[in-house]
Order: sequence, then structure tokens, then C-alpha cells
Amino acid sequence: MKAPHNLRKACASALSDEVMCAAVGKMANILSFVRGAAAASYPGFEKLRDWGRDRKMEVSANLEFYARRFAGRLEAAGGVAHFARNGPEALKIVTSIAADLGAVSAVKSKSMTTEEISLNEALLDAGVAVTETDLGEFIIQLAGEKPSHIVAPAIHKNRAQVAQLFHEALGSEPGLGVEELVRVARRALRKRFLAADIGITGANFAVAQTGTIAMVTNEGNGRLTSALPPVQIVIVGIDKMIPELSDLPGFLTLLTRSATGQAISSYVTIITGPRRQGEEEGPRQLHVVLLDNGRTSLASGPFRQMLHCLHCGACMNNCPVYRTVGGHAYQSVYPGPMGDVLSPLLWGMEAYGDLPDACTLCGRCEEVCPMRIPLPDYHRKLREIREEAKGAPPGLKALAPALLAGHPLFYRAGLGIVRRILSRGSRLPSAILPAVAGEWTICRELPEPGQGRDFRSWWADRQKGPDRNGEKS
Amino acid sequence: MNRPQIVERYIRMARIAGTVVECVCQPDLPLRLAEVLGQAGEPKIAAMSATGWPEGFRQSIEAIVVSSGFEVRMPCKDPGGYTWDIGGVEAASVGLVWCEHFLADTGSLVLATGQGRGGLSTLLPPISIVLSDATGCIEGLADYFQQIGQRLPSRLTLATGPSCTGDIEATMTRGVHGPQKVVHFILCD
Repeated sequence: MKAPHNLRKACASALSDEVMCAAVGKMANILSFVRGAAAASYPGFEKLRDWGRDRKMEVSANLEFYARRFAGRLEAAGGVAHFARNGPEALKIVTSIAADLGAVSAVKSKSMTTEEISLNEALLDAGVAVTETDLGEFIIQLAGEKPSHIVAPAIHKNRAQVAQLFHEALGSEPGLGVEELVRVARRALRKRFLAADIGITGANFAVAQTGTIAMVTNEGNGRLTSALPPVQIVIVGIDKMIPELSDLPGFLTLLTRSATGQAISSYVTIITGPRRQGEEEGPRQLHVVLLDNGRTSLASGPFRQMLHCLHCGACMNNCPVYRTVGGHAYQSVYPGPMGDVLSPLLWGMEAYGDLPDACTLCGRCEEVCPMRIPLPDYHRKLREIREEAKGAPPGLKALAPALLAGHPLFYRAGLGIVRRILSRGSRLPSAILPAVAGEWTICRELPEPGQGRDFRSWWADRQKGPDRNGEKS
Repeated sequence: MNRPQIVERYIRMARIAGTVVECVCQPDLPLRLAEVLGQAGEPKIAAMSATGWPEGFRQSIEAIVVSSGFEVRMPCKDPGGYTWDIGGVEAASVGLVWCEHFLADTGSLVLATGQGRGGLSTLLPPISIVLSDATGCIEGLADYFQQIGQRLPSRLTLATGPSCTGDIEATMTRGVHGPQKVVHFILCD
């Protein structure tokens, strides 16, 4: 699907963008702090996490049942359900709905699932102009860039850059402040909302019991997207199912407290079918595209709990790697720890096999994940699978340390040689180490070897007894 | 929690989210409402919901709005139900609705669609004025769902504070898409 990318190179290039690194690091830091405070201030949050995991276990064990149940209830409420096995099928469904309507413009509220299937590009090819309406997404769409953060996609751009961008693309005055820039975006986007033929949204939750879609936004763009255009299309991964309406309050609490530390987002939009008879607003048609795209096969494999992910971003906000390199380095729709695991599973090891290396196995992501997904364990498993797939017999490079450490005699002899090589004044290390130790030496300085004895000879002398420098036995 | 405690909790949570909450007794409402309307900018157009108000209440609110110099736009009743001119709502500087339920746990207004409910008046104008009775305050979303069973409206919105964004330099800014100011009058005895 995509040319394999080089994590190391991408990280190096991301790190050279100091403005971006500082901005993403700061944002992640803030979000990590508020998430901690929000979790601590909610009595029973840990129990709620257990409950959430158990409910999602129930869903991932019966994905098809809940998706079908949802589709039935949606249609009973007047909506239209579509099943898409993969991205191309979903794109075909959406573009043919657009073609039937003769649609030329669409507004969209932020949705990772639509990015997963590259919906904007497909709609553009079909002659439908798509406007991202989340302010951050709108900014990077105008700039032709990719999101650097899942919650704040344009956090890498400062106000001067945004002012210049708006000046060029929207004709606003140059050099505006944040407040004025937000007004400019409001006016520009409102016009597009009013003119749009289709509103496209994702969903945070799909309630199987009632055929209900729930989505959260702070800006209110999700609400506008689902209220103004005459037709709404929702693209939802079948993993977003929750069994019953009574599950929604608990999941909303877990999501918003983990994502932004809020007790609730500014807007939660709960949609059950299209506009009803005699109502004066809302879309006349509601289409929901239920996307599989590898989810069913995930459900039966060893990475099943990835289907429980709420896309809250807590794992990345707390990840030392993500906080350092930002979202661009991952070169995937899904960055951070959840992306390290999900990208190779959805799009193959070939293209994304090195992403599980973007992890220090510190375990922080699992600690904060509202669904308690064992992310470090999954990283390790993916590395194992990748190495096993290579299938190469261990070379001399791998055998040598094992041999040296395997027998006291070899170990002592090897230690002596190394000490001599590393002794002060020797030029040998800088000449041979890069060849022997490879990339390990690129960013590490070899410490000066100690002046004194090595541990083994010190221990041997100590065992002899008499000269213990006053130590007690 | 008893009623006053629940309402108190609502007020605390809603204020954290940025809602302007005022408890008023009915005789004081005209004055307070006129004051808020007086602070609204041009044009002097108000979008109002046609239904959902307690008996006779809409007319008295409408009278206050008109006497504050506003032109009122409402969904129109016709044989097939309600319709309204969205461009007309878009032009309004203020929106007014009655909100039956609001949630103490999160400081949220529960806005349900229905014939003539005029939900866009809480979304398109820059100022949103919402009126409720103190008896409409319930603890959380779970309690609300318990009350309505599975009879969900086509759109149910939990609105908590004004529309806001932190997308430029993490600077919190209000009114990016929806209202920048939300005023909630709670009628108390």
C-alpha cells in the first residue's frame, strides 16, 4: 500500500524541525498533565477503566453480531447502513452516494477513519471539493501538510504562520492575532457549511442497541456538519460499537477525561437516524458506512485488544518517543504507541514494520490507556513476529557475545583484550568500533576505561581476606 | 444529593466550562433578560424555538425580546410540520431556547430535536440564551437515559460551555464555530 519508510531517517528529519518538536512536546505535556488530574479527580476512574475494557472485550468477541444489530436499528430509525470490507469499497460507496446527489461540495469534521481510507483524495477525484472544518485540520489542509498531533493537528504552526496562510488563502489582513484568526476561520467555514451538499463525519461510538452514533467535538463543527447539509455520511470502523445506550455515559467519561482532561467535551452529538417528519432541521438522508478494513481478522488474532482503542491520544501524550519526535516522524495516519501497533497490523509489516521500534518499552502508555490495552507487550510481539519472519540464522555477530559470556575462561580472556584495546591513548576504538558495534556508536561516546582494577580481580582479592580496607565481612 | 445541591453542582461545573449561569426568580427575569439582550451586538435579530416552552411562556419571552428592539425569527408551522429559513437564523446575533433538562455531573445542557425546537438557534448565533426550570436539573447522562428509555430524538446534543478551540498555539479561544457566549437562566422559586 505504501513504500516502506525509514523510521530512523524520519525521526532525524522531524528532530531537525525544532519549532515542531517544542510545540508538540509542550502540547503533549499539557494534555498528559490534565489527563492525570482528570483521572485522579474522578472517584472510581480505575474501576471504570476495568468496566470499559470488559465491555469492549464483549464487543470485540462479537464484532459482526454488534455491527449487524447496529445496522438493523439504524435502518429502523430511517438511516441507511452500508458494509465495506475494505477502504476501496468504502470509497466506492461514498463516491456513488455523492454522484447520485450530484454533489460538488462536502464539509467534514475530523475523522481518523476517513484518513485511514484516504477519503478526501477519492472525493476530490470524483469532483467533490472537501473542506476540513476542525480549525487545526483546516489550517493544515490549506497548508498541504499532515497532522503533527492527533488532538491539535496544527500545533506545529505558530500564529504568524497561520496569519500568513490565511492572508494568502482567504484574503484576510496580514499579521492577525489568534482571536482574529479564529473569527476569520469562523466566517470562511460558516459559508462552506451553509453551501455544502454533504456533511461527512466519523463517530466516536456506535450504539448497537439503538443504531445511534455519538461524536464529541469542542469546536461544534461536528454538530454543524451533522445539522446543516441535506445529507450526512458517517464513516465508522466496526470497532466503534458499544452494546447499549446505557454504556455511553461511561465511555464518554473515559474518552474525554483521557483525551483532554475535560469532564465532557463542549459538544456531544448523539444521532439516531435522519431528520424526522415535521422537523425543521437536520439531514434528510443519513448514511452510515460500517468499515471493516482488517478489523474482523484483528479480532481473531493475538492483537485483539487494539480494537478497543478509543483514539483518545493518551498513549502518545505520555510516550517519551512521541513527545520528542512528534507525529510527522511516524508517517502514518495513526502515530504514537497505538499507531506503532495498528499501522503494521492494518497496512502490513512491509511498509510499517519498523514502527514497533519507536518504543522504549517504558510502559507508560499502558498505564494511561483508558482501555488498558497492553501496548508494550504488543510492541514486543510485533518485533518478534518481524524478526521471525526474516528467518535468517544468527550470524557470527550475534553468536560472538554468547560464546564470550558462555564460559568463564573465554570471558576472562575477552575482557583482557577489550581492556587493552580501550586503554588510554589507544586510537583503535574510534577506528574499529563503528564497524563492530555499528549504529550504537553514532550518538554515543565511549567512556574512558577506569584506572583501577576490573571487578573480577577486585573480588578475587577481597575473598582472600586480609586486606579489606576496614570493611566488615 | 437533594435538589439545591444538584443545582449547585450544575452551576459549579457549567461555570468551569465557561457558561454564564444565573438563578433568577420569575419576576426578575424580564429585567435580567433585557440586560443580556442589551449587551448583544448588531444586527438586532433573535432566533427562537417555536415549541418546547412551558405553557404561555414563549409569548412572554418573545414580548421581552421584541421590546428590547429585536426582530424574532422562528420555525414556521405549516401542514407538513415546521420549516425555517436557515439564512435567517444565520443572520441572528442571539438565539433563545427552553431547555428541559441539564446535567449536574458535567454542567451540560441537554438539547433535543423535535418539531419546532429550533436547535440551530443554539448553534449558529454568536450568543446563546437558554432558559430552564430548576426542576429540570438531573445528575448525569445515565439518569437522563433512564428517564427517556430508548425514545431518542433524531439529534441529542449535550452542550457544555461555549464553542472553543486551542488549535492555534494552544491558546483557548471561544466561538470558533458555535456560540462564543452561553447564558443559562435557571428559574428558581
